[in-house]
Amino acid sequence: MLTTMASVSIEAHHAISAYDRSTNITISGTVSKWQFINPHAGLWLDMTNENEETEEWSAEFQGTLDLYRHFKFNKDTFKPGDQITLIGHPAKTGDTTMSARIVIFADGKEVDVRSAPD
Amino acid sequence: MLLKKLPDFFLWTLLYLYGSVSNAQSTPDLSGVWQRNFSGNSSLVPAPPMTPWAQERFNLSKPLHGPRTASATASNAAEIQCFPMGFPATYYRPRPFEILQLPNRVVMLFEVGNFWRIVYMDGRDFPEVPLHSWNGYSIGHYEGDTLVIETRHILGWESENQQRWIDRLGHPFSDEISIIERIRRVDDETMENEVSIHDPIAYEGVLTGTLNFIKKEYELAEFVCQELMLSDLPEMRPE
Repeated sequence: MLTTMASVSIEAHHAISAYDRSTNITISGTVSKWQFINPHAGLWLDMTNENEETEEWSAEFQGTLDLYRHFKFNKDTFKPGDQITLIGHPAKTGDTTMSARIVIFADGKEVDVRSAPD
Repeated sequence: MLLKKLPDFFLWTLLYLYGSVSNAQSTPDLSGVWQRNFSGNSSLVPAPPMTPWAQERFNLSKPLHGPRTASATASNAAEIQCFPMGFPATYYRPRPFEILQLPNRVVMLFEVGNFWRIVYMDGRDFPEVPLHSWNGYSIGHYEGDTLVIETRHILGWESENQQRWIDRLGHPFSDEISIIERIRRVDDETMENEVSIHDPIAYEGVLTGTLNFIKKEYELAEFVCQELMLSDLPEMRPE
């Protein structure tokens, strides 16, 4: 699994303060919403926790043009109902929100969205 | 008679064309898409020597970057309000920009916020009556391989909620700021901009530093800052 960041030439607006970059969490669930907008795209997943309850998670991504230029993501990359796994940094607040680092699609394809290949 | 003049005509045409080509060669080619090659958490000089005026305002700033980073919901940075950031602060954004060189002006198109900047190259001076604006008024000329730009009349620090900084770290500037940029191409892939900031209200002496840029093959695309207001991410929306 790609867990090291080869280069981080893109940066979030506030990743330093809002997310705990020393910790990685993994969230698997069903896509409920994909906001492909600037300055940061957002993805929402419904995850079933150990108590069989549904938790709503949100994940912050880079802006649309980084995602498009480096990974060819667009407004149709995620659709409601898609099964997705995300690895990323949790919010310091303890809310169910994260900064996405790696996306694992249903077909097993992994994209390290924090690392721009240039 | 006409036939006798023809060689002269060709000679003059050749001389004219040669003149045009040498003129063209004397203008450095800075055109293309560029992106910063320095940290957005840096400033032109490590610790700008602030006047008491600047220190007081710096203490009120809540930047999104650097050691005093505030959350997006708490920040009073111009960038989170979608305002232009002036110069050199705009260069600290990670988004690429394109330089277009026209005979009487240089146009800089910044992807971030879809901002643009015109540098007048026709020998004019600054307007006698200034019209202060977010990105100011820029005039320029070429010195050998270097494009020299001077910018004045940028709207300076206004209030706690209308911050204007020389970087993304909260260092304020005043209406009196003047910026001189000396931009030249180092090689095919690199461009450097030696920036000097003179703002006697805010800083002791002149702040000078060099910003480096890398050539990119990107085509600029739309980046509408106000989309920020549509975000449902809990960490994104300013209160």
